[in-house]
Amino acid sequence: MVLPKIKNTDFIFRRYNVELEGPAIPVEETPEVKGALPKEEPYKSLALAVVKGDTDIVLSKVKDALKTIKPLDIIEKGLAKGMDAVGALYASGTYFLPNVMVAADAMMAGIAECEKALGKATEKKGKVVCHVAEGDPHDIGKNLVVMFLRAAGYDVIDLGRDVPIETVVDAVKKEKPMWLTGTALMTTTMSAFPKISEKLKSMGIDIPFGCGGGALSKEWVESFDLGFFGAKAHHAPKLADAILKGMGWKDLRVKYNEVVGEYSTGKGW
Amino acid sequence: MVELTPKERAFKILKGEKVDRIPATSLAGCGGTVNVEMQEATGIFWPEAHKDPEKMAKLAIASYELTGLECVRVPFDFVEEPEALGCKIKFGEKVDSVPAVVEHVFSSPEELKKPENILELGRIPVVLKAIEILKERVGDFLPISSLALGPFTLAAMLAGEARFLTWVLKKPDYVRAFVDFSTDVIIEYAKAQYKAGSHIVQIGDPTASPDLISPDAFRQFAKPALIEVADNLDGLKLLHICGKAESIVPDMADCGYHGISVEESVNISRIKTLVGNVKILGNINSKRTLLFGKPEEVEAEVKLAIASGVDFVEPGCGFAPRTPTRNIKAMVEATKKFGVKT
Ligand SMILES: [Zn+2]
Repeated sequence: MVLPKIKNTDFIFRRYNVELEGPAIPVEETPEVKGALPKEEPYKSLALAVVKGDTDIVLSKVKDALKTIKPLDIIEKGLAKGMDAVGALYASGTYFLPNVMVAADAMMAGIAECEKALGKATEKKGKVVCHVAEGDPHDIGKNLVVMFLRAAGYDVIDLGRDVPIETVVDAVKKEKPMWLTGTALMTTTMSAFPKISEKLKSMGIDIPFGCGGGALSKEWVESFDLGFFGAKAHHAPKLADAILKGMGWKDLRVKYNEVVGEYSTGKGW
Repeated sequence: MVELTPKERAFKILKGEKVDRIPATSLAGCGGTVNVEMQEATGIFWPEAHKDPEKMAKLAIASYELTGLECVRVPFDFVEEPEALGCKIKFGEKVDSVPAVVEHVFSSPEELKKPENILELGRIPVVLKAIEILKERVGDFLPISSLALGPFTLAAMLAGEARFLTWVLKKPDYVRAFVDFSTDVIIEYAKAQYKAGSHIVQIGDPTASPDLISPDAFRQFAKPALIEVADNLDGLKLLHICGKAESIVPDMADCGYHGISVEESVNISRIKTLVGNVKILGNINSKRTLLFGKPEEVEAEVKLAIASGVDFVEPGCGFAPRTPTRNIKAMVEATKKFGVKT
């Protein structure tokens, strides 16, 4: 039998002449970056180097700035503002995962340089335990949550991927975090979350358990206690700030959009 | 008029000929066609069935027999090529565990070496043998589809997804080298699938989705390789990309495949005019509706998908392992009810 062949001569042309669209305006001119970046130097250039994900420039600018500015100011007034802009660019669909990941790498390199100057790790705002559900090897979403939280000054205990329920519960018992996060991409792994919630409750631990990832929806996550649905990785710092101020899981369910400053349907899928 | 067989119907649609009605299939998608109930009914379970051609073929046929789904498809997982190339795979022990890559093998283009005997490595011979069995047992009646990965997705698995995504910006030459390498492997594997008796090869490229990389990066890195794969395959072929893929649908349709498979986030009536002669497979919600929904909700969604213009009613991304059989049946029945062409 002769099978048909789609013939479209134009993709032969296109294969070797892939058009590069490039953003219509430079990233520093976008409203997301203009809104988040500090006005004064050297903070502005520090933040912009993070936005562009250029580790070399971040490092040279940090080293320069350390001659006159306190390490903590460099992080808080410069680098972290860059990461805020990255979150906004990601939210608006201008940035995609690769941009976020290289920006986070640049940011972490800058923070490490500041901590070297400081002679110790910076004081952290609070502790968060992060994990990927048992059986699930997909950790990009969790890694983004970890990076955004560390960039925002939180101490993150990263349990990794495919983490057994017991390990999560033990870590929470030992570390006493203010917040626990769990991500699941596969529908076959999400059933671990209600079990974790049950065990924590039975030990009298009442912390928010933020669950997100491709497999989940707000409705499902709210079917068990402690759970609230995390729609996007870059929401993590604002959620952490709210939890730090004392907001619990029941409030987070209701006030989510208000807290993250974005509208999300919470459908997940 | 003699009623068309599911195979004739699928072939005719993909070739652009008129048919009596729209079929209910799952020719494409990251998820497979087999659920836990089918394993219980046949007494053939995962993970063994991932490694045994006879069991694989029997389960594939069960997915037709127990639901009326108008096709068979193998394999049920997504990692044959990376496994054959040396990545470490975790199979999981449960009947609903989907095998996944847990260790990646290549960190630079210099390390990329294609084994001479790739068709003999890992579970590639298992899948090819399962296709042969299916051809023998149901190949005159049902369309047989089989999966090969998209080049961008395989490349990301070989390097490790996180690292690979940063290369898109930092080391584009690495990305090209990995994608080129993957393209050759996929062409060889896909050709062997046709030779074994597969009617339709699905190229599944979820990592090239706008959920992960920008449409620009898709056009630079993933699309040229998808075109090369399509150009080298003479049989019927489909392209599956899940996630919010609407922004790249014109590019997907331009890659040279007979059909494109998309999920529920893509508005079918909106893309209908953008795809030319390329057929649309989809886009019943694999999770909210098929996995967690009720049969009535499945029926309503099927009706909508048909009204919007799908050429095959399919799940947006295959069936999750815990999808109830009654929902798959509801998809088939609703398609037969609403899909008749006048
Ligand atoms: Zn998919």
